[in-house]
Amino acid sequence: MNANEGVIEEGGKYYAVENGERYRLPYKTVKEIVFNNVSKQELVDLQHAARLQYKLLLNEAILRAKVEFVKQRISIVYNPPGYNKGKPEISPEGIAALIRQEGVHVDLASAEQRDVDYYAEIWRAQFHPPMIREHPPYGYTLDEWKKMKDKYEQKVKQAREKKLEEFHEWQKRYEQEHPELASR
Amino acid sequence: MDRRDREAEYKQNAEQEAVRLQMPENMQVNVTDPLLAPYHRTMEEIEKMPVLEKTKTVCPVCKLIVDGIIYKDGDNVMIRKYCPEHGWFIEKYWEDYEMYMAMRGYSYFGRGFDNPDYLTAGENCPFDCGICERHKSHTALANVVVTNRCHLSCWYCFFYAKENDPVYEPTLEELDMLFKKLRSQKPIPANAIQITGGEPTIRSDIVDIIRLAKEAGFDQIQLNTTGINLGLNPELLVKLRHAGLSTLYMSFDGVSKRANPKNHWEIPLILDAARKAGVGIVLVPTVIRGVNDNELGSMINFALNNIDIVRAVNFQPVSLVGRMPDRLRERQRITIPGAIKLIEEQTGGVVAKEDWFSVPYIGGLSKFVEALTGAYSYDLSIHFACGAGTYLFLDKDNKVIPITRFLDARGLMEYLQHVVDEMEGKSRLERHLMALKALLNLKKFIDKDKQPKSVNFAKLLGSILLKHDFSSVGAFQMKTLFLGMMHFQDEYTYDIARVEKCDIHYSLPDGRVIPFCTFNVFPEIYRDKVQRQYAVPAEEWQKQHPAWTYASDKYRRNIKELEANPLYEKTYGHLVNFFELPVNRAVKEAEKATASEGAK
Repeated sequence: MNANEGVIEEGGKYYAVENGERYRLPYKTVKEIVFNNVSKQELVDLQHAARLQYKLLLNEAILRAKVEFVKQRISIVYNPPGYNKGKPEISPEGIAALIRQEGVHVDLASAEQRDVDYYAEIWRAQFHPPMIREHPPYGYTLDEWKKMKDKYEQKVKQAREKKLEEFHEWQKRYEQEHPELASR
Repeated sequence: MDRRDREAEYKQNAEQEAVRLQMPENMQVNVTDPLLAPYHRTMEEIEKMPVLEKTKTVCPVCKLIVDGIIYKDGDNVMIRKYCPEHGWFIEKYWEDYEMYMAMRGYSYFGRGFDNPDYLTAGENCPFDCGICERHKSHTALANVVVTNRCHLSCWYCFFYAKENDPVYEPTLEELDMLFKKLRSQKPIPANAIQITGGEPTIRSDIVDIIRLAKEAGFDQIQLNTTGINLGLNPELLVKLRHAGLSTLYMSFDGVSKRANPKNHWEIPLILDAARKAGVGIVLVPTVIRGVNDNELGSMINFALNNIDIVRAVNFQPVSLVGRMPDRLRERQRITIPGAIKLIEEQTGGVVAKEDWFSVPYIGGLSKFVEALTGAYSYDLSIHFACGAGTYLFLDKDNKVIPITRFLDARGLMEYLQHVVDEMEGKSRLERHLMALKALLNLKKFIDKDKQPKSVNFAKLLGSILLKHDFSSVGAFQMKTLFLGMMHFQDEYTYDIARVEKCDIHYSLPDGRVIPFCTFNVFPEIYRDKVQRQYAVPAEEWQKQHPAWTYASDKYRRNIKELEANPLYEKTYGHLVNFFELPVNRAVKEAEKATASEGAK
């Protein structure tokens, strides 16, 4: 992050700032709660765990939910009361009750809780995901591709610039064919 | 109004629609009707039927992920699923077994993102979407919703703001961010984008939106629209074209007034505006059995009559999203082959079932181009059951020639795939020599005597493969009409194996990218939920836009005036029926004769 990046508040609303541009942020800080050692019997199986996740996500105040049958864990990112004005809220007790409605009992006392910086941990992760692997073009090995890659990227950049130039030239011709554009 | 209210309203509307279609609620189901029979067998009968695939699907009621069994029932391919709480669900998956098996042969896994959403690993697919590392296709077409306001109020649509609903309109900066995110996808950035709504032209800054998309680097920019605002304001279309708009992706549910009440009267104005602005049009009929399925041939004929400006007809068999009465669903359901067979009937065999190929068919071509050039190429590795297409050539003598009549499409793809396989492990020089040899061999797959007189197809194909850019494809399309079929899923047909391969994605305002059928089938956890986070309450919107009222967005049509416009008569009054011309009838009769000869 540089000085041009971060979160600002204006008129009770939050904005992410990147390269001098502002983007609305629905939340500033939210919370994550993690329930461990959830009973496998109550989660039933992978499919029921997935449905529990779906049902949790129906709640407007729950932004993310992850129900892991194998790890016997439920993680929920939510908007707690008093954190973000005007947004639907839910308390940890409310979450536990919601899960209980689906036949799964969680222990609130042993749940792990922490604050989540929405901009840094969610917004940026979704807008700027890192590369986790590399597929070479069909017919090439990864080693071959690594040798070709720089040249290829250079070529793509040049082609892009050329295309944009051609487009601007086309625009000029189009303006001549459509004098009505001059009045815009 | 929440989703349940909308569902109730939808159900009510659907029931009214059933009445309109003269289908009384207490109507006895005629199980001898071949269209309905597969829905009304006993489970004992069904379980004896041959199983073709096993997949994962969802219970339409409670969304439990359950096994989906795809099986053969006569000529139909059906899907059945059992929810322990809600019982059995039977639905048509594909209405032609033979075609299903043929298309299945083109299936392959493409490449997903190398920079996927890492906040999810997709274990609970489809309920933890952002495109994750297990997704198997890159974004081929990105949809970006720019507004939920619309100037129409179609009874079947959930996708627009009703009175007092919050208004969702991302700012230009936010849209720019979404565009850049799509362009930063690895290894293959999204290159085609569809600006959608609501009705996108309702935004006063729509020209700026198109300009931003062009500057972000998209080559193909489509506007998903009713076209009405553009027909009434042709200058706007000129501005949009100038800003970089490539194509209008325009709703068009039929040629007649009855089938297309949405924009029938404005179509002449829109075509005229598009001609003047030089913008190509893709006609997009939503096909509903019993509503407009009798006009499929005439819609293609309409496109041929306007081939100077209409580039494609992209049929979309209806996706019956939301709960609706079973009987209505069974009657309205149509799948890709169902529509294709009707097209064959309605064009008198000029466009036959055999002329269609599955979208991932193109994969062989992409792989060959990539192996030849070392440059990433669009994959189109979607599930074979999601889409189909073909090209029609309109020759100088008005003969309509589907591409498959002079190109051995299957043979060509098998050959190219073989060449790609052979290339593996070879040096670059060897690969190039093999590719050159392959290019020289292309003509073996083309029957020169049957190709259109106005086209040297071998040369055209060679140029596409060698130039490997959109301009070759553009030149190709200028001489042809592309016919497409895209069947989006609903809760009844949902197949997670299809979703994993989807390449038509939505970009959400929170930065996530979501497959089309996840976005629209589970709007309550994706589309509506996230848009609500970014929407402005109606009162606040009203304060920000004092001149605006909900009613002021709505379009009021003057039918008399529109019908009196000379363009109306010009557009609808003098349509040539290409499929009845002697040149096309002669082909049909000759083919029939050959077929009966063969049979003897």
